[in-house]
Amino acid sequence: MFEARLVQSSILKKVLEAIKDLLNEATFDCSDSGIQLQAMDNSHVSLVSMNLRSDGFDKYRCDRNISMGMNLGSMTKILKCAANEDVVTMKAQDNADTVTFVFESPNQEKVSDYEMKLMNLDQEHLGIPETEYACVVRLPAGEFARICRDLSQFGESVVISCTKEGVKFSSAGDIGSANIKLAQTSNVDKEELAVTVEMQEPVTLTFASRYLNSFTKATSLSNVVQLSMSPDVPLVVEYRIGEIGHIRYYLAPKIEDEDNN
Amino acid sequence: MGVNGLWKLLDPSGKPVPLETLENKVLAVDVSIWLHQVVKGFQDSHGNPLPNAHLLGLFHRICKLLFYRIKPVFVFDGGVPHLKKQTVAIRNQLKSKAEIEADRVREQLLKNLVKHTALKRVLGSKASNIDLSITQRKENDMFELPPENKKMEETLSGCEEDALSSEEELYSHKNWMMTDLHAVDVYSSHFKSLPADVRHDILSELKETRKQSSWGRLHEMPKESGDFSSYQMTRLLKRRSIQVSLEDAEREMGGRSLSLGELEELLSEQGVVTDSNIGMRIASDNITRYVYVKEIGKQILAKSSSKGTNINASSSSQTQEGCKVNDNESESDSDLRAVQESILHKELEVQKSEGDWSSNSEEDFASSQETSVNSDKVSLKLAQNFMFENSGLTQQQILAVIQYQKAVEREVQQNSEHFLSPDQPSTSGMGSKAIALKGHGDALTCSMVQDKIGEATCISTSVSNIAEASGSRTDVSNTTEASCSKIGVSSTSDMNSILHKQKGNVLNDEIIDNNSFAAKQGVGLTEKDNISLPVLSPVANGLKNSDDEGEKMNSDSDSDSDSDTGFVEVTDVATLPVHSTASEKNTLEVLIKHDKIPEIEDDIFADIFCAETSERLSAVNNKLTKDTGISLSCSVDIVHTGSGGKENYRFDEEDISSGINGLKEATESELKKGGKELMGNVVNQDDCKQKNLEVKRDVGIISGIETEEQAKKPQVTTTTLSSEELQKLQTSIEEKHLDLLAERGKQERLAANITDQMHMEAQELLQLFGIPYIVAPMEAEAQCAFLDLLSLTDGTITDDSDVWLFGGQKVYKNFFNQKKHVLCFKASDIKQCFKLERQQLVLLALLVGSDYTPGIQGVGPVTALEILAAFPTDGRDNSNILSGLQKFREWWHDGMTVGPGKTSLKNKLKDVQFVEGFPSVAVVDAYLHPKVDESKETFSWGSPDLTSLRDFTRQKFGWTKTKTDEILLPVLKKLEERKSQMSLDSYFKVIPKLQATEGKLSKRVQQAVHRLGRAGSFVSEEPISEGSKSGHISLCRKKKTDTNVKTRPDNGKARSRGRGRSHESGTVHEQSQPSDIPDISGEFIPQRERDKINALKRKLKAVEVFRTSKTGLDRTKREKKVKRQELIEAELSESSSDCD
Repeated sequence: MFEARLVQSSILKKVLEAIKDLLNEATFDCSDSGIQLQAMDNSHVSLVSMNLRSDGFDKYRCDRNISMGMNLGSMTKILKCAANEDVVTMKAQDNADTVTFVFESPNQEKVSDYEMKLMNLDQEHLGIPETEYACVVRLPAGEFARICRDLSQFGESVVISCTKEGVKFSSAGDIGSANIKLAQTSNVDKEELAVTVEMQEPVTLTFASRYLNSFTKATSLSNVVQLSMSPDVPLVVEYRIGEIGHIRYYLAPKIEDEDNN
Repeated sequence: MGVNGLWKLLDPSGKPVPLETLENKVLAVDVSIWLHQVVKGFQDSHGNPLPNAHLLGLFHRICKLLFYRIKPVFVFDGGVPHLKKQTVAIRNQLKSKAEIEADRVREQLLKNLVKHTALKRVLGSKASNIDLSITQRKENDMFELPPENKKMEETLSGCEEDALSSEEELYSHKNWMMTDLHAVDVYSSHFKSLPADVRHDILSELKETRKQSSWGRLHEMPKESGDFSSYQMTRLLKRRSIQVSLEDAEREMGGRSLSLGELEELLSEQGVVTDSNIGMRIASDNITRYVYVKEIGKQILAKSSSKGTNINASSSSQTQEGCKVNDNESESDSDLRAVQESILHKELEVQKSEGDWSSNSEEDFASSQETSVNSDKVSLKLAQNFMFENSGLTQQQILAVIQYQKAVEREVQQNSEHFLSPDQPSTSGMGSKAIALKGHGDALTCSMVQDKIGEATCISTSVSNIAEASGSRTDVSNTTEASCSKIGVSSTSDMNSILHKQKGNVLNDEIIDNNSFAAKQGVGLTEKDNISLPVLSPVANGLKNSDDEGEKMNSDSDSDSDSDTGFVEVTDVATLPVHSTASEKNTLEVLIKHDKIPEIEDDIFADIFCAETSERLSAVNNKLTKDTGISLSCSVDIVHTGSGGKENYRFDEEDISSGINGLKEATESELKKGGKELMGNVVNQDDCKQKNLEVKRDVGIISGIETEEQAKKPQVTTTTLSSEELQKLQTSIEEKHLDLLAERGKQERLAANITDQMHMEAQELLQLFGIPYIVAPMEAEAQCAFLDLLSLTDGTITDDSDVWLFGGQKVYKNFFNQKKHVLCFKASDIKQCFKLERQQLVLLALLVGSDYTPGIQGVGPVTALEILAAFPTDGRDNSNILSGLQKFREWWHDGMTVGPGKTSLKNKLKDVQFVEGFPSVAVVDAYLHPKVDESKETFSWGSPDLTSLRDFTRQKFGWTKTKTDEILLPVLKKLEERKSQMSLDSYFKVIPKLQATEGKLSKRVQQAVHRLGRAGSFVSEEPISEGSKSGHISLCRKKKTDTNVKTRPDNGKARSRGRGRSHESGTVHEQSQPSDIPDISGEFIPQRERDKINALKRKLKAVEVFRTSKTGLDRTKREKKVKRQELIEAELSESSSDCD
């Protein structure tokens, strides 16, 4: 028996919003500790890793581990039926092949439940090593979204270079080139508006702007986004999901061809 | 290609792959399959095959590969392995069968149409929808034959439709081809035999003359002013058709030479336009069609009249065929001599040879055309009579002929020897086409012989040359053809002027040269064709003239000769009477067209022969002048007899025939007179012409009569059939028609081939792109697989499932199929999914059939999988890989004893037929040890050479620089990008995933796979779920249930319920007790649980069955029953251990 009750259904909605660009279907692995999701997009360039801790839920019960393969399109449709302030409960029997979403209005006057069929999905778990990153940049999520959007107009790739002074995003294409520099905020008044750089060594990496733009769909989840980079290692873009978890995106960099065509 | 049905079986294991992820991957590309696909698949907006389709397809595909920054290595097929050759030979047999089938279907189509039109005429208003169906058919079928043609064939096949034995069909087919080629649709048939450049010349000439000579066509104007618009319309359409074919020819000239199918298409396009009462296509618009409906009365008249002439054609072509057969039979020298003697002895011998000929022709054709035999005889007799009458006139000439004969004899013999060699292969190899073309040539020669005073001689030579050229194309070198065409352009005008001169003057030397030599040549050639018939003898003339008759239009030959003499006026006059009497505009126009084409060709060839040295000019020349007279008179007579015969044949009613005879006699006498007059004025060409005109007029009258008769005929038939029956018949015919059309289209598409030149060009293109390619020593797939095994490539792009048998590891399928996702198949996935390794796949191929082996009829991939599961191979050793199949074979030969796992197989394999030598070691060896290039050199890529590519596209596709750039520049830009997207897989370790493919497999496949997977340990396993009704199985089930009850009494009820249902579905058992299964893994996946349960249950069953039949495969039922007790224990122990 699995049951998870979340007071703010909007969080679930936003999470879904944040991943459905990259994934069509995903397996939600539910265990005692919470709900996890890990999936690569079908070109295996980016990876979404989401974690919702059990203590973040209003009520959480998971008797045995279950994996629920869900079609994210269908799930979005169901969650659209919920109002933002509704309380959402996910339920599944241990061996059932459906999951039930129950939406309760705050005043308990309206209760709706939706049952969704589960899917039998391929599971491709990636073992992600814990890494110390050479650079960790924190910046306002909105700012990051804006930068990604602006730069994607110039070219397919965005170069992110991180130095002590700050972080520079640049892109070049047919129409010209664009550079955006963010300096470290000197005095931190409001943490969510600050740009901070923790750096061991300078890093410059190139990424496909298409994926970065997809990641920024999670902007509504959090005010701050954290970019972690190391040379020749996937970029990690992390958004916190309120108090209950986080969503991390991994993006493989573009690298120079060593052999010349 | 590949292993039959293997892809379908493997499909579930494929995973869609985004093309972006293939960046920087080195992929081997199996090109051979591409070229086939492209050549057969590419077409322009009209549905015609594109020139250089293979290159165009390759170009686009290379661009696609490069755009995704894939590093392709192209692998071409080298030789063809012996095994494949065998199977391919079988396939080719099927292909040629298909071609023949297509021909047959076409013929049937035509027959059907005849019936249809006949019915239509009869039904009149009732059949209002027929027109519709016809137009619809037009839309469906690009390969439609020209309607003109069709009418001819209709009548022809109509004659034959009653008698259809296999032999007959053969003949009728030949016959059909012949009429098709020379008489019916000279316009198109010439094109068939001509290369594009010659065609182009002809067409442009035609276009020119159409412009010039409109004044000469005043007489063609319809008498009724109301028809004028239709007249104009037809003319306009005609012009358009010429233009279209001209363009086609131009296009063709740019590319390779035409194939037969393409020509046919081209011609049908013309044909579509030439007929005004059928839906027409406007050139720039392939959707819209115009239907022009003429007045029905007119139509009928026209149709019937054309039919009349067509009948002439058919019967005469029969006779023609007859003489040709005769030729073949009497090809020996002795025969030749005999015929010469016969000439010496004039009438008597003439009679004799005539008799010979007629009997021969009867022999040959009696079978094929029972209905027409009588008519043939009649016509022959008539011909003989006229020969008699003429003989008086021609005596002198015959003497002259004999002289000439001697002179020519030597040459003839040489020629005949020379000619025989190409002749025989052509008859056997090229078949009916060659014959038809020759026949065509004959006919033309004959017509030309008529007025040798003019340039007929040249023409005859040229025509026969055409016949030769087309009949034995392979033999005639290309250079001569080229020169022919070149000369042809200039020669027409030259010839005309020469002709004019000749008319005005007696004969200048040059012309004499030409004529005589040409005459000689012509005689030689015609002799070759009709070996037993010395050309200049009356007999020969008679024959030839009858052949000439075969040219559909009586006036055709006349106008031919006239136009050849260079008098446009004469042509017009000649056609005029025909026009007025027969009142058929279409045929008239066709006539003119037909005339012109041979004329031009003739000139071309004549000139060539001028260029050659000529001897014995003067002597021959004299004879020639005399001969013309004879031939003319003869021709007149024969024309007469021929038509008379036809009439007889057409109408058995005595009164009609007698009436015709009377008329015939009248015209005959007139003609004879004409002939005599001609004799008197041999040298005077003008007189000859006048005679010709007379003749033509007579002919016209005759044909007019015929027309009437024809019109009457359907009415006669109508009386016998009720209109209801007719309507029924009509609908059935229409249905049949549609069926036939579909069939034909299918069959015709199966014919086309890849040439070495295509490979060369493809490789050139690859070089320009800087892409490495290999020509595999044998099969490209094997080479691809080898490269894959060596890790020189990261996979193979192919749609050929053979690659698995050669050891391919990773295959991308549907790469260039826009409708489907690119699927990535991995050998490891296949192994995991289907428990099939390379060896098993080879065995599978042996069962289902592949490129190397025909397989076992009636065994599909799933059945094969079951067989493999039931007869596992002992051990993993390659040496006894076939042991399983050998066991299978033995089992089958032993009458398929019921054994575990074989109950269902027994039912399935009731009707299978084992091929000799199954299972073949050679096939296995060919797959496991293919001949490949073992070089381990790595590949390197260059950058595309943009300038050369631009040149290439301009040259091959006619693209402009802009168009090329449009396609190439984005590709180049992509290529120049120095950065490539990495994949996360290269950073993170992939934890082996659980297999979810099983759900996509069908139950049967799953079962087979399960058995396969355990084949090593559990030799046999009874598929209880197969739904077999045999007693012991249900007993077994019952016992099992009992044991279950014992072990778990609480579950008893559910179990017995399950048993009740188990007759419908074998898996019910498993579903009824999911909770009994312990949680094996820490993770609980509800979707997987059931699978696990199923697997467990099957395992239990397997164990149980295995115990009952430990000793082997060939256990009988009785023995099994004995073992029943053990079963219970087995079940008990398994179950209890399981439930702990």
